[in-house]
Amino acid sequence: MKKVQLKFLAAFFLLTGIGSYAQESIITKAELPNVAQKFVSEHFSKSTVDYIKKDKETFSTDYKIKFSDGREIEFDSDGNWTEVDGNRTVIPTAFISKNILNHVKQKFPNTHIVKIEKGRFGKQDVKLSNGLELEFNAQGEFKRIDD
Amino acid sequence: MSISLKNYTLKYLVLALLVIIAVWAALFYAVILDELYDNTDDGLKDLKIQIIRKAYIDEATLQIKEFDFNQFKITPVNYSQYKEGNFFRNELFYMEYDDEMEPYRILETYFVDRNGNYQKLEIRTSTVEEDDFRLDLFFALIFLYIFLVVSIVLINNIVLKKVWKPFYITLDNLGKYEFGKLYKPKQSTTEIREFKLLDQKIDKMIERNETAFLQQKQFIENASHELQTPLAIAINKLDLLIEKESFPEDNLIDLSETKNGLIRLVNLNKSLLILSRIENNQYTDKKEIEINEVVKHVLEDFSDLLQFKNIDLDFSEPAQFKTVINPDLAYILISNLIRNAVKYNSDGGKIIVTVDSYGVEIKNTSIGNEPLSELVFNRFYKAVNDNTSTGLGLSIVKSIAENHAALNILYSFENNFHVFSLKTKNS
Repeated sequence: MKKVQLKFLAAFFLLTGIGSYAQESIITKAELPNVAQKFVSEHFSKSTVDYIKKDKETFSTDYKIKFSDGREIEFDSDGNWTEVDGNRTVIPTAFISKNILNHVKQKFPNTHIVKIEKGRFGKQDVKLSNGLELEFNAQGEFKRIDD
Repeated sequence: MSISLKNYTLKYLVLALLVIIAVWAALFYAVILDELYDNTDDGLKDLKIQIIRKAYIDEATLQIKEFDFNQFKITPVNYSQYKEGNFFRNELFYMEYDDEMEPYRILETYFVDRNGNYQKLEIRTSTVEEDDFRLDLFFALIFLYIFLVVSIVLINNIVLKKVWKPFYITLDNLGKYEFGKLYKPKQSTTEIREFKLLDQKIDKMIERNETAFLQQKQFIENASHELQTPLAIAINKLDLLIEKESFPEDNLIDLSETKNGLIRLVNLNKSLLILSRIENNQYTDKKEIEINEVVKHVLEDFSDLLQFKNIDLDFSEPAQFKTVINPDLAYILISNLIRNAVKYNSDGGKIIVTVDSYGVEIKNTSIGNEPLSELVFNRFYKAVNDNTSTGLGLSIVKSIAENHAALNILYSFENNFHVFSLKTKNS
């Protein structure tokens, strides 16, 4: 039984090793870029870290930090946040563009932001607590509802 | 079974049209419906945003649990039932206005309310008009198809008929064209390039034909003429010599026989000319002739000879025989037959001539009581070696009969009579 499991595991690792061009490794907070570290201490000082993952791709490096409350942040190689996901719970909004916050407050009172994600050309996707997804541009101007 | 060109393509057009419209209709219907549903769905999604927004402001919204004039309802669900995204479906609901079940389009979606509870939101909108639209579209397409087919048939018959008219005029002209006769075609003005070309080519061809024909006709006439002149001169000179009476009798006999020989040449020349003209369709002047009259005329012309040979003539005409023929040829025809009947008859023999509605029958007794060979109609064939005969008489008769659309000449030997019957083809 164990021999079979071992063989299966070995095959699995071998395949994943061959298949992926990404190298993933677990790192410590200190190994994060400075900008990222600053971000975490500023907005998520009270959360406990579950793990921090460094994902080295062919052209870039990504970082992902997962907190014990289920929320997670993704950073790019410079340490700038690319995604903050509250996993259906509220996220801090201090770093979010005022335009976005104003729009959300006006159009959807009593809701809060549970996720924000940066896309191509500076677009920002914002997910609200009511389940709706809004799309803003780099300046934080409302573009459309993503439905 | 041949179909007119204009109707031939109609078959394929109608069939092709059916297939094309059917295919196009299916595609069009799918596209339009898709567009319509898209439109409705967009409306529903917009309502969704507004309803969720309202739910966050006014909790009473969450209490709307049934579709009434709000056209939406909210049902609390638990986490396991929560789904991301929009789900559309069609459902029938009772509509009071129409008093029957009518189709509605429903958007089902999920959201989290102010208090963190999971809610299912269903919004509906009636699609009554869209379903009626479907039916209307279907009938409209059927009507379109019928209309198209009818239009095509009409255009075919009206326009194409007009277009093909010049062609039919040309065909008619060709049908009436007779070699040697003046070609007077009915003028047809056509814009169709092909028909114009056809007319041009036909005109050229006819011109060539006519030229060739004319040249040939002239050649025959000239040749015959050239032959006649020296012959006439020679005969004349011989006549003068004979009349001088200064020759001994032997010489006179020789001169006379020479003259007869030349006369034979003259007759031969004339006969050949006639034959050639008959075969070149140069006797174009046809009329409806009553053969009875021709027969009587010929018999009168031969009355002296009949008397001389003491021939018993029996002429009866139980009916009239009429046919369309060149009058000169008619005379030659009957005359040649009668001449033979007289010439090869015994003295005191009998000739029976009968004219009925099918033709003429000439019977004669003869010197020898043997039937003639079928070769008797061949040129230069002589049953009896006769120096005065050209051997062309019956050839001419046969030629005339052959050139006539409906006449046939037959020979038979019955009861010691040579029987020549000239009858219409279907008798």
